[in-house]
Amino acid sequence: MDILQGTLDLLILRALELAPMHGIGIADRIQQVTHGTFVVKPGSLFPALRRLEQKGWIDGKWGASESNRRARYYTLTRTGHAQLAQEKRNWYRMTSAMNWMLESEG
Amino acid sequence: MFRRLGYLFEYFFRRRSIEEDLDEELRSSFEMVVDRFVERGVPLAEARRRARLEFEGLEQVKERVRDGLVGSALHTSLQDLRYAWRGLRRRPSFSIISVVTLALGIGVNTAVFSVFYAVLLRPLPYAKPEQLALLLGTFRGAGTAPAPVSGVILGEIERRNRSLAGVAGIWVGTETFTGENPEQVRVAQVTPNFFDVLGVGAAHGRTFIKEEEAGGRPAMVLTDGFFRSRFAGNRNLIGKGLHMRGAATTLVGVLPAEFQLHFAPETNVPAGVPAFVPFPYNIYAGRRDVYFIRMVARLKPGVSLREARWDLDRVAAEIRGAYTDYAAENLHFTMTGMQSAAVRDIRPALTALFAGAAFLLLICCVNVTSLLLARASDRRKEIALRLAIGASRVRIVRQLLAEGGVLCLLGGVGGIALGWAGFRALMAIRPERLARIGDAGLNWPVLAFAVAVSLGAAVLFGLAPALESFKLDVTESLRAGGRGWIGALHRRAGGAMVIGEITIAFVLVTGAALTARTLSKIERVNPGFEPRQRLTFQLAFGWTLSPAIPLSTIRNWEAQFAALPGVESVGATSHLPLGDFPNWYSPYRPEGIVGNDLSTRIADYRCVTPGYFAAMGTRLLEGRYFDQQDRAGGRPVLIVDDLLARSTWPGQSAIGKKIEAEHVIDGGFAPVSSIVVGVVEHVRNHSLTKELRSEIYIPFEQSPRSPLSFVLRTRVEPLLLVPAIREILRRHDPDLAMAKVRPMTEYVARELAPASFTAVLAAIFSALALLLAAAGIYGVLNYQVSRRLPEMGVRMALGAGARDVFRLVLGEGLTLAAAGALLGAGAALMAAHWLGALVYGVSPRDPLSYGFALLLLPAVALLGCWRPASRAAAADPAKIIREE
Repeated sequence: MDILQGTLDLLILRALELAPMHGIGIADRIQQVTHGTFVVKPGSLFPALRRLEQKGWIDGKWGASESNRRARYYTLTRTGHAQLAQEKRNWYRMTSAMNWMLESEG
Repeated sequence: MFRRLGYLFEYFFRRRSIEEDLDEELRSSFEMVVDRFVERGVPLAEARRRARLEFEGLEQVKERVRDGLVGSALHTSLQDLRYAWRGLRRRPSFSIISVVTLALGIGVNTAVFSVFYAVLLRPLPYAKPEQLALLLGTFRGAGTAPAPVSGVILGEIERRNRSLAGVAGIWVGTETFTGENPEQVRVAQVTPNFFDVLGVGAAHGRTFIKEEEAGGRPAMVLTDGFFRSRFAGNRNLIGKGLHMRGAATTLVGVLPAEFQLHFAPETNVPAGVPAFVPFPYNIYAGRRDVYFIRMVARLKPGVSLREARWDLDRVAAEIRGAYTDYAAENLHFTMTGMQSAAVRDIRPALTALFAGAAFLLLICCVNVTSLLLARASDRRKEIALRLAIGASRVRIVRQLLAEGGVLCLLGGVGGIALGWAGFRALMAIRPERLARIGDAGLNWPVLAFAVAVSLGAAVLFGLAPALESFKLDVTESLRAGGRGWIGALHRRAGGAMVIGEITIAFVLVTGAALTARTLSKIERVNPGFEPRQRLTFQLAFGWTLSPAIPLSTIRNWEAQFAALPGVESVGATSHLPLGDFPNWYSPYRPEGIVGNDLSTRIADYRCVTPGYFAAMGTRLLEGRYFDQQDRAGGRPVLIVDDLLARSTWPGQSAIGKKIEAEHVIDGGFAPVSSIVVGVVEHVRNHSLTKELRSEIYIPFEQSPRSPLSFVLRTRVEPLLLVPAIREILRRHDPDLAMAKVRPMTEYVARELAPASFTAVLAAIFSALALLLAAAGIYGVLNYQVSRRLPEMGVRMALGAGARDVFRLVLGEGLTLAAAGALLGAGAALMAAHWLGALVYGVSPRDPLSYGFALLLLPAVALLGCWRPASRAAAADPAKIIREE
């Protein structure tokens, strides 16, 4: 299933909320948690990571991966946390609005 | 915000490390994905393949990451420019031709716009120049021609108007500065408020004050240029008396360096008057029918020109009510904005030249666009390839635009340099009427214009190929190897361009032919005198209207000049034809003619010595010239021109008729009844192209007037006589200065200057247009031929001869040219009525000029078609088909 326009940021921020991760880890995590509904391809993932980093919501640092490769690990910054909270609220408001609309009787 | 700026900073200064980071991150991520496949038991090679599939190309991912970054837009633009620059350097001949063509177009436009701006658009150098207006009177006698007024009228306007903040008067005479180097210069007599009305203050000292009116305290103001050249800019002289022939005069101030007079040419107030004095007598108490004061007025703030005109209509009505003579003259006023009046006669010519330059630029742009289009279709395969490997169309368009931009940047810089050189060249051949451009040059408005033109061209050039690239079908063009596109795009566009160029060139060539014909017509006008082999110079004898020396001295000089070797005859006049000395014209009253229009006749007056007509070569039609008997105290006589004789006494001889004419007597004007003794041909006193007013000649000794202009008819080069004449005058009076020492041809050349200026520029423009049009046709056809060589090969293989192919290409070129010429003829005919103001002696639809263009343009087109056609004909069919 395609990722909804504008929700990739939210997915990445949410994935990073629990622990710092590298790019492939983030993609795996999203795929795993959504039971394979969302598959994030590198072509969308890396531009999004750079964009979020430029906005100051996440911070990338070089570290060692589980298989001992050099990997860039991303952490959620303080403004990133705030942004995540904000985007969550927006998301809930939007989904409830969508639900009302879809479930309303003729 | 700061963070973004920080990233921008980081982007540009740490771009390398960012790129490296990205590289490494992507590489390690890629390896992780491979690792994962390997862990699942996939063989390494297959694992790498699957990972690559997942990544959809590392380069594309990188490109998308870069696109998303702050600052990347700027970076990409720089990259585009660098890329464009490299591309242009790879094709030097294409680039050089484009840049030179562009520089030519922009340069010509910059040069012409510099003149256009300096003369027509730049505000006059006075305070709030839009409030200034020229004020002239109309008198029944002068027809509708606006004329100067009397001091009495100026006084009445001052008293009665409600719309003017001030009105000032000026009259230009001459005076001699005495001393080591006596020098005769124009001196303007003005009302003391003259500079206040113009809003010009003195750079040093002051301008005039009320107490200096009417010779109350003799005072003088000099221009900066004259103050420097004659008095070495010595400011200690301010407040001191200057040595003058007329009277001791105090120098009270010096004007700013940029000061110039900007009166309309027909007012005979020249731009370069070096010295100003207040009128030395009370003009308001002068004679009511001597019209000599030129007026400039400043409107009250908030008053429009229209409102001021209404106000002056009322003032004129009041004056007519108060003075019966002005009522009889049906006095009215005309008022024109000072700036529009100053440029009225030169505006049509300059506008036409500006339009011509713009047309030329259009041709240049078309040529460059055609080159770029050809190049774009050559690069079709390259573009398709780049689209295929992932470049976005927007990026491609941006790169094409960048290429146009680089071309225009280079062309613009070259054009501005060329424009500057062109402007210097125009300055060198400019007519005197364009004196105003003297202090102009490359300034901000001109530069802004050049930049705007270059930018406009850049967008145009980039856009045409860019739009075409949108239509590009990637697979189709990769397969066709870049061919095929030509059929649709370039043949259609190329044909339109050729037609457009020929059309424009046709209009320019007819314009040039018309101006050249006009010039030759004006050159062949009989002005009523013979300008060749005539030396002229002017002498002034003091302040007053009457010369302050015995008349016998002048007679004596004439005899001495005539005795010089190389001199055939000598004469003198108060006003040389085509001179810029303020005109002398007044009413005359033919006696014995009954009717109520007695006061409605006006003529130019000149007093002349007996030898004048013979020296000037003005033919006698009836009666006799003046002789030595026509002296003061003798019977008052006069000579009229054929215009006056015909209009006053139609069908009769004018000889023996009586006229009450104006004489100068004791420094003032007075009517004297005189007998007509001769009729001469009309002399074009004011313009070679206009018979303005009839003429009355009075014997100098019956009406002596200063200054006096001498004419020497010579057998030798006129200027060779100057030292001998100077010596004769010096022996008489070392303080006497010769002014305006010129051959008479110079006056004629000055009159011809605007026409020859236009003709020279029009000729240059049309020559360039023809050259560019030929180059344009050559470019388009040559390109098409090179794309169509396979077609030609097939044709020849099927039996067409070289001659047939030659004819085919030539025919196509000439058909386009013929279409262009037809359109051009139509366009030129439509523009014809608008050219009416610029031509003289020929119709704006002159068949000769059109015929010239109709002959010339096909010849030029042929020139452009020839080489492509012979190239096509020389093609070797076997070779071409093999290459296919």
